[in-house]
Amino acid sequence: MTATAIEATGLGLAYGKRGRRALHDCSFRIPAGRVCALAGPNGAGKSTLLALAAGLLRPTEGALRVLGGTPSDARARSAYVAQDKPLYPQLTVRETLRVGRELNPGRWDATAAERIVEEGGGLDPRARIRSLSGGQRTRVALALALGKRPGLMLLDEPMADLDPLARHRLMAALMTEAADHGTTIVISSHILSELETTCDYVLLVDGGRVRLAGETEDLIAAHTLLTGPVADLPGHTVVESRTTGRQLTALVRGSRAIGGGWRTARPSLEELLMAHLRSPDAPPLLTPGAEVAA
Amino acid sequence: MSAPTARGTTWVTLRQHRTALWAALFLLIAASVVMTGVRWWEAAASDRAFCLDVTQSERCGTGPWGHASAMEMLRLTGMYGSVALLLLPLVAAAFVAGPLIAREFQSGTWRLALTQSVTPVRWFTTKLAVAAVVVLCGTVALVLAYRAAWDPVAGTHDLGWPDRGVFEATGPVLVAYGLLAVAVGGLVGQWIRRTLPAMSAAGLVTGTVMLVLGSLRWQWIPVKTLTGPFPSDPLRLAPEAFLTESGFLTADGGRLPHDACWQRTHDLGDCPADLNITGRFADYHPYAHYWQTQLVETGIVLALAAVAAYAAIRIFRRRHA
Repeated sequence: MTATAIEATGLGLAYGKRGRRALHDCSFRIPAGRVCALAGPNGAGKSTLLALAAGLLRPTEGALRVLGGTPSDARARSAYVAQDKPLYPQLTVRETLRVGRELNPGRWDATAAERIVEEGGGLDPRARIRSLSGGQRTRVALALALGKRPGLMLLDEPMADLDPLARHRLMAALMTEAADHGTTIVISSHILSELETTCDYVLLVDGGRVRLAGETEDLIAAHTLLTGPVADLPGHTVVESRTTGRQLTALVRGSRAIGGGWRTARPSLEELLMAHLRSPDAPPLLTPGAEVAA
Repeated sequence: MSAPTARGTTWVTLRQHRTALWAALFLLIAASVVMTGVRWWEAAASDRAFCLDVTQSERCGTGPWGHASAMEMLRLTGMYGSVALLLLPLVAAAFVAGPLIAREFQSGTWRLALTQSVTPVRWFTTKLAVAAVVVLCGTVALVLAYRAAWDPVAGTHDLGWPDRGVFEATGPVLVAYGLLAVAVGGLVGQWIRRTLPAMSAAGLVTGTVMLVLGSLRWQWIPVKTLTGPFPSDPLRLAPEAFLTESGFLTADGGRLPHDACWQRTHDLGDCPADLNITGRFADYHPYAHYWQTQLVETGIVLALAAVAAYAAIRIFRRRHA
């Protein structure tokens, strides 16, 4: 089995003594070197999961191991970009990068950080953070994360403030980083379509639980999209089925050939995720690589 | 403050609060210049020798730049200065609790700071250490400057060594209260994670400690007692002595308040025979108790500061390490 970037066992977190449970009984594994999409609707627990992995929150149940140790042990080797991109508003861009250098002695890669800031141009190093647009702040926050030369990047909705072009550029920069240094990237988003082309691993959380986990290819291959006449589908685990007139469209588990006038198709990642989100009762599926070794 | 040699968490802390540090430095210099400047004026006044010599007081001028004006300015400086220095620990506590710590939580920047390679405890203790050094240097300088301004008018009305404000502003207790303020700020700031409430609470806690210790401080060193026979003239204490209580002694060794006779006869010296008064007493602190009380109170406050700092770091470690 390959090295593990993140491994959760029965992980849960409740806010307050008997408060809302943001995560409950999550067990999954993300192998090292993957670009993992953390998908799920708003409030699913994506941000909580990333903050736990970054060591900012403590689990109230279960355990979480990051890069082979506790999240605190992995602090120097992991980078985290929070959804609201917290930065010191009174500092300039250059000073903010210096913060990265001063707080990561021996690790800081100024070139990598500056490349992200300079990419696409237009970011004055003397500009104060408070004067930047949301997208520019995102670039500075990502530069801080990349300058750390992390083995694991935890990015919480990093692209929300970016226009499509900047989004494309930054994704490319992240993919280069992942390819060149074997960095594991966990990137949360509720925009499902943007994940499909870039991510080779998927973790779907919904209602504080893991619904799907595993290699994108394997998860897609484990499902079949069926279209045909309205009829029962015995022997299949049906994730979701919809009827339009006399025609039935269903997403089922398994890839066995089906007779009887069914047309089969390979679902897209977005179709797969949407079907699961629309069907909260569908059983969770973890590919063998995503299962936690007992 | 550019602090070219600062590194790591120290550089980050100094850079974050550069404006506040410059403002504090400016105020420190301004206050020191005012206090030492007025003292210099007093020392340099051309009629100083006449004003200090009772036999030549007719030659002591009343001009705007004369010695008498300088003394009046020294008194004003001493009065307002003592109030300002009394408030200094409250301001320090509010700054540490609010802008230094709670604001990181309120604005979310703590998540940036605590996901870098340095440990959270290192980040937190650096903040407290930087604040402690600033407060230490600032209060030492201000106490020295205040003493310079206070010296010629020491013992005049409301500017005696036991007076509240003057006592704090003239000795090491102020430095200790400043350090306590930093520790209290560290404790409150991470507990109440919003800037303004944390500032108020930290100032309130520090002020309460100062108020409580200030009302207890003259009980730590036992008073000396002067006794004398009755009837006779009232007892005479050294002019710098701090009288805490006086009254009459009775034949059976009991004490009566100083107005016991007046209550009956409306004459302080005319005491009814049935009171059996045989003498007078006066409880007082000699000036020597000033330094003893300063040292005892400094010790108590530093111990409280150490406990608060230890608790603050321990709680932070438990929550974030």
